[in-house]
Amino acid sequence: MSQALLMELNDEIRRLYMAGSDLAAGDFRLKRLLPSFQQLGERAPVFKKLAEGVESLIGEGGGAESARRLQDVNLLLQSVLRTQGKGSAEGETALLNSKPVSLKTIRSYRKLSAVRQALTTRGGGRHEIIVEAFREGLFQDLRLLPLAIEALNDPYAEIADFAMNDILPSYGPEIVPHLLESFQPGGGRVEARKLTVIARCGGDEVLSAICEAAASGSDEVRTTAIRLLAGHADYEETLLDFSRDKKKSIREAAYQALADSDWASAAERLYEASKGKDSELVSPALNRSRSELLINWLVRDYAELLQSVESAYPEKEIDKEVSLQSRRYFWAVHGKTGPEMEPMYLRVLRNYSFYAHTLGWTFLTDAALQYINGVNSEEGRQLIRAAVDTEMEKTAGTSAFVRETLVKAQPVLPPDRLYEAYAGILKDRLNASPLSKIATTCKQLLDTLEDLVIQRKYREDQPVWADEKKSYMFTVEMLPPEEVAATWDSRWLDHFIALDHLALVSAFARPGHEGVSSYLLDKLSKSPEFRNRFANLAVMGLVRAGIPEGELHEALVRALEDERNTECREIEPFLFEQLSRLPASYAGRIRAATPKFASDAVLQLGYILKTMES
Amino acid sequence: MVEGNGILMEITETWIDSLAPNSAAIKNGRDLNKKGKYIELHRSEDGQVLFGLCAGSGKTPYAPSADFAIPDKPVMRCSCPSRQFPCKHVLGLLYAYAEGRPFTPAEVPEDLAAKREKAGKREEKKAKEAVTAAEAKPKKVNKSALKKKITAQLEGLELLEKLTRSLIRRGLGTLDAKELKVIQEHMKQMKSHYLNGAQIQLGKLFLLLSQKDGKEQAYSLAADQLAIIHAFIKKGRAHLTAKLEDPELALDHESSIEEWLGHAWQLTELKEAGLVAPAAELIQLAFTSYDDTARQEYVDCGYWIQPDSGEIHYTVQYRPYKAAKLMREEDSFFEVAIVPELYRYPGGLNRRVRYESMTSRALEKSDLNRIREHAAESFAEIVKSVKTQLKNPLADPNPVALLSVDKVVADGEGRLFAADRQGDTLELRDILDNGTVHLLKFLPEDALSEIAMLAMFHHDSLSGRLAVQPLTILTREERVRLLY
Repeated sequence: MSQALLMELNDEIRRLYMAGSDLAAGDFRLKRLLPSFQQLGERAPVFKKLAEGVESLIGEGGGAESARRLQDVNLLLQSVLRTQGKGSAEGETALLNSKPVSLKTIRSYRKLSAVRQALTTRGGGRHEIIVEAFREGLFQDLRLLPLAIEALNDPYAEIADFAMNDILPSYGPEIVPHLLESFQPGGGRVEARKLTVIARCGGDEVLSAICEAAASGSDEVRTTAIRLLAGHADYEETLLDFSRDKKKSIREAAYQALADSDWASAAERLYEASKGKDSELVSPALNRSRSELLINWLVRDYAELLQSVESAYPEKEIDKEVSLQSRRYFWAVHGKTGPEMEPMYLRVLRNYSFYAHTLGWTFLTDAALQYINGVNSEEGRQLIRAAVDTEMEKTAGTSAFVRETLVKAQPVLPPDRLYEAYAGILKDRLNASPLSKIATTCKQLLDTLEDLVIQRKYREDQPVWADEKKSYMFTVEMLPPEEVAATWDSRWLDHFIALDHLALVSAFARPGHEGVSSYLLDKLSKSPEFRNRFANLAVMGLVRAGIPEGELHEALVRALEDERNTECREIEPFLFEQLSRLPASYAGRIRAATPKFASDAVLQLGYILKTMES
Repeated sequence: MVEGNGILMEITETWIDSLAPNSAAIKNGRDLNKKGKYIELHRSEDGQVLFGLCAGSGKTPYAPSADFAIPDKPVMRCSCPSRQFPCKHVLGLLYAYAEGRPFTPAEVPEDLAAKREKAGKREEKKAKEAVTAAEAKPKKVNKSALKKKITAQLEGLELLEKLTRSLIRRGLGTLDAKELKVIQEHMKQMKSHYLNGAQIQLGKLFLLLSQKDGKEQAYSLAADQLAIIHAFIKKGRAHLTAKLEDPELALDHESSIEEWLGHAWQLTELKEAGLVAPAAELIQLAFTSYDDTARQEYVDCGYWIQPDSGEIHYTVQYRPYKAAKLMREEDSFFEVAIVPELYRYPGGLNRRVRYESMTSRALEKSDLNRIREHAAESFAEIVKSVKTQLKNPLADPNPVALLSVDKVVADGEGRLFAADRQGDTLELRDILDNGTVHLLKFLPEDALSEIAMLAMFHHDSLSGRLAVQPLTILTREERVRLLY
């Protein structure tokens, strides 16, 4: 009773603070409250005091004093109210039903707060902090768990995906009840992500919940749920039903789920859909499916289509629809193997010119060449040869001749024939102006050749010199020397030296060739900078040329010591490997050169020195 | 750490982490070591000093060193220009040592040796002074200056009262940008009247009144704040007037009024007031750090229990925005701190504490059991003493206590409560920005029944309810830190 009265007074006092204490004089609402306080004041002195305060507040002649009076009443009232606070439960209570996760709380504030900030704020650089924290195991601290769940909602999709694919699954099945508890089938992307984690961690027990979401959720949740049901035999019928749903997005998701399920019924349904009005919609699923049954049916149909095209031409023009259908079949069977594929592709090669030039279906002829190339048959070889001959004739003098045609011809023609067909361009280049057409063609030719024998890429690897888990390193890889010797004509090398093409000289360098070693040594001494790609290429060539070890070591260390060789941040893997093989006697010279290097390169040289010493 | 002749105690990475001013310094120090930037690593013949050379961006390398002549007060030095202390070079040197990299014995470089000698002499002199000066030489106070200061403070209170009264007469609902500016100007004036506490309180009022949304609630909180300022003016004026009349002009070491008036207690003053306890152990139960916009400072706050008495203390470090980068950001502390001298500030249920140096030992299960015994068995009793404190508008509105919780229960609406053995309940609700209540549903049963719970109290003036936020839970086996 008295607390309600106090709260009422509190409200009135607040009102006066907002309106200004000058209005307190004669305030009728306070006047109305006064008797109750006076009455209570007879028993409790504190109420008496309050009554007095209120009385003077509403009294006349307040003016400047009104503020003080209001403050006095308020101060007393606040003190009294604070002693009245109730904190206990009023209704029935039951034991908290917790769903434990076995996580500790042993990480310190400084560690956690950085991640917490990354997860609760917006702005750049957050993704890296979160990924790093996950690697460090910080998410195994209980206090980050709710934030990790929250991260599914992050506006930055990379973070949301990382939470879905890595962080949350790392908690295992214990996380599932907590996700289910907050799961809203009617929600959007976040709920779909949540469902994905539930499926990933929950095993068979959550399938019924997923099935329910597939039936009753929002579109986004439904399509996700349907995909998650793929491969679960209990839901075969359900998925088949979904594939006949009225909604396009639902059918699309069901097709994908069927493509991921290896049931005969799935293959049948997908095949059926490919014949109907969904032929476009089902395309990605057809390509995705690994079902042999389905492939065989599709290849059979494709072969039939090709046959009808062949026999109808030229009386009947090939219309757009057929061309489209051909492409659809092609994408469905592309990249797969099957007993029916070979005859179909052989048929394409037999009519190579028709398909490649008359119809312009190069997608099909190129795939046929590639497929038959991987099949060991005499007829196949002959057909490919013939196709290549046709191509060479057709493209002679065009830029395709030194590009696509060369790529097709190289594995097929004997090395000397290939050399004779193309080396003329290199010869002519020597006497031509750099602005001439022949110079352009030659450049394209060299580029194509380089692509055939040299691969450059960033490869993920575990560096031996640092204890970091993995990092990406720029790597140059060349065809093994034996393969170059077996599949390429030996005369190429001289042309490359004459044209001063370092990368190809290195790739083609072989022991016993006069001049290649001195050419490469000269190159290395002219550009010894490890930060540039040339030094690594030259050293690769020198090793392939079989230069004596002592000479190689000396050349390497001289390049390392060269005063131009500064600011290298990372030594390329091949070069690093060669440096690692240096005898321990070079340790002093390496140590002296180390300060010119930076970043990871210092670690690399440090590692080399360490292995030398041990 | 290092001892006498030869390095005996080990330097752990955790210990080095705790020295670092912030987490970036930890990373940078580790990287220096990992990247092999240390050209030389040495220790002195007597094992007291670790020193080395670390390649920097310039030509000459830096010379970081760590001197363990006084084992629990190591001195870090470096020749680099960084204002962070200790700098990354020293940290990296220590990490290299902790990792077990070889430190060859060598002569301490001349300039370092000279510095050590000077420091040694300083220590000796200090020790001597401490012996002689302990009883004699009471600090001389310039009384006329102090009088002047008090008069200025009284004037400041006058000014503050005038301002609040004019605001209240006008009504908070009609304040415009001009009035807000006037408040800001008064904040500056409070500082020149030596009333730092008043400046902070006005700052809080200013923040509330300049809120763009949630006006209704903000006015209500502003009225609370005005009541606090009113109490402060009354109490401050009485205190200062009394002080002006008292020829000794002694500090009030019983209530927190000195701090409200802007006094920063010095350790010697606390000692004089008898507020220092010898040889105490402290165990940190919770830690948090937050941005206090009214103070314009970051605040690192740790809650500790003194296991022999069961008192809950707090440590607080203010890092002004401008200096925040150069100051060490405090961190959670997991071991048991052994403090030779514990200084206690005047205060209520929780007192602020400070110490000049400390050593540490690992936390054991027996410690946990010892702490659990101090947990308050009856909610009714603890709530009573909390309310006694809350009654005082100038007391800490969020006292922290260790509760003995029989079980955690939920009501029909999903609100959570802690229940004691008598069946009394207290609502669990988030008070700090960092929520913890939602973590309870992830905890195993043994962390939810028969536990000790460190809880922060809060009276919500809008709903009139008293609630607590769980900060840490102590089971028989472990300390579950819900905050940090």
